[in-house]
Amino acid sequence: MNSQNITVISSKNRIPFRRYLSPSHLVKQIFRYRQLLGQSILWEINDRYRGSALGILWAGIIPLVRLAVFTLIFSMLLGGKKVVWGLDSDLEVGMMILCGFILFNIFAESIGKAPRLMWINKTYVKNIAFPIEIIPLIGIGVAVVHSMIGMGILIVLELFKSGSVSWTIIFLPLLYLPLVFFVAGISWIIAALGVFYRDVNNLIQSLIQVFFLLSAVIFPLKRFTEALSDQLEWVLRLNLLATIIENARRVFMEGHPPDWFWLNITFISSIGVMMLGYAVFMYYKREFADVI
Amino acid sequence: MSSNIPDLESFQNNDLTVSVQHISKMFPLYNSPWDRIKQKIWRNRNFFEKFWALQDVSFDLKQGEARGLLGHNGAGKSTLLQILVGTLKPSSGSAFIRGRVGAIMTMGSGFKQDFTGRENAYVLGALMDISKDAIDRRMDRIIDFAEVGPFFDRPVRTYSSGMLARLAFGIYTCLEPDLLIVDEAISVGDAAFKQKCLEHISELLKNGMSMLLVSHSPPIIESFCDNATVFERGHIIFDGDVGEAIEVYKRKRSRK
Repeated sequence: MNSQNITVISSKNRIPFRRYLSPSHLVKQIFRYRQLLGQSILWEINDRYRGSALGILWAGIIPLVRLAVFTLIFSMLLGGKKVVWGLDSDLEVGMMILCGFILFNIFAESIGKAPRLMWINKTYVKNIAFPIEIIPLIGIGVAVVHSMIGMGILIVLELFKSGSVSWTIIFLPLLYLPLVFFVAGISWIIAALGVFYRDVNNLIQSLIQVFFLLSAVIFPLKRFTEALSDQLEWVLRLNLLATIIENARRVFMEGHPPDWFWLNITFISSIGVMMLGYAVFMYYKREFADVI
Repeated sequence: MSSNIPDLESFQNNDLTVSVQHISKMFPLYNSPWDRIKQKIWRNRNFFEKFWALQDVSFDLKQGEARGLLGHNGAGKSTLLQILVGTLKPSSGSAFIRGRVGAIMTMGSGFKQDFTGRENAYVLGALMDISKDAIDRRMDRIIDFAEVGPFFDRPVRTYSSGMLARLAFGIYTCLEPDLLIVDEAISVGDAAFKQKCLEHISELLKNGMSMLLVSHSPPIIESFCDNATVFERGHIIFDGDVGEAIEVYKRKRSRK
């Protein structure tokens, strides 16, 4: 009689796991909610600095404080610049560490929040027909914007210090892609697990520290591979962050093009992690409201 | 859609807005987190207690009809609404809804506390899938409905709960749903606010919208609805005229 859409609610129409694994499902869904996602990221950033006197300036002050700490402790106090880094200037060591830390922080911030994410956003899970799969992406978006501000500061510092920035910096945006894919995939899995198992939160908080060391944030990755045997390198590289951080230093600080071999592997695996994480989240999504 | 749902065809050929058919909802209750893990490993055993929030619930809602859902806490009203909104999946049974669903489940919980009323109109609009244009077009009406005066451009954390409710409802009026689902939201306001909601909702109902309204307050149900359904521990115990339904509900309450 009339042509309006009919919504069918049934206990039977559970979409099989492998349908969610298809890349087209993921791409379609993100494309469909791109405006909501973009807008939510802007609102989130706006909300965070609303009411503070310095506002968004904090996004720049925080990395500068970190730079000072890293320079002071890891180079000037612990004296690691020659032995660990093979560099001559204290500031450069600080910048190397900050460069890795800025990228690691996207991971730490997003993953650290993931276990409680669905609980915090209870209303969206229970009361609104909201695409909750974009909630983890909002946090990642905010973290990426913050990290870009940090990178901008590093670029300005580099310009002051040596008068120019290596052309290889054009590869830096390319490194954000596998990082975001990887973090999104892990966040989706952890957010889904966190709904059912409250222990996940404690587990993740301690795992982040392990990842901090494994990702070679405060020392170069090659110190790791030298200390262990070369055959173990791929084990370290299973942690995709290690390759991404190492390459960020290559293209930004050292002026070399990326290590394409490992970067390609990281790129492909990050897409795999993202698709798997998305499928896990979407498959278990219908049970979230039962528990929360 | 798929042809394995035989009732869909009959729904397509009638003029109902909602048809709920034999819906049941069971929540597994685990006594300890270990039971939940065990359940994942031994799938053919049950490590949980079953809690049936809804059992074999069926009813129809005609176009333009307003129906009240009455029942004590835990009777299953909100579970049913969550199933219709789509956040909960039924354990068995099915339901069909024709057209757009607008739901007012918890008043203003999507607000960002440090944002102004005006900014929150867009935030809440985005959550309710109302476009920015639609909000812009009706901003005057939202301001008019909210009646918060100069507070409209101040952070909503400075609002009283009545102001928040009015603002939220003002934004919801931008929704032009075919089915409006309201869960206790109207009870927060004062008499004038209720009157205003009543006027607005009856206008929408006249234009063909249908409504499901949950409330603990019989007067509210009485003033909005023609029919009512009374729930008791997951079952429908009465379905029909609103006056009689309220009698049934009151009798149940006095017996408790």
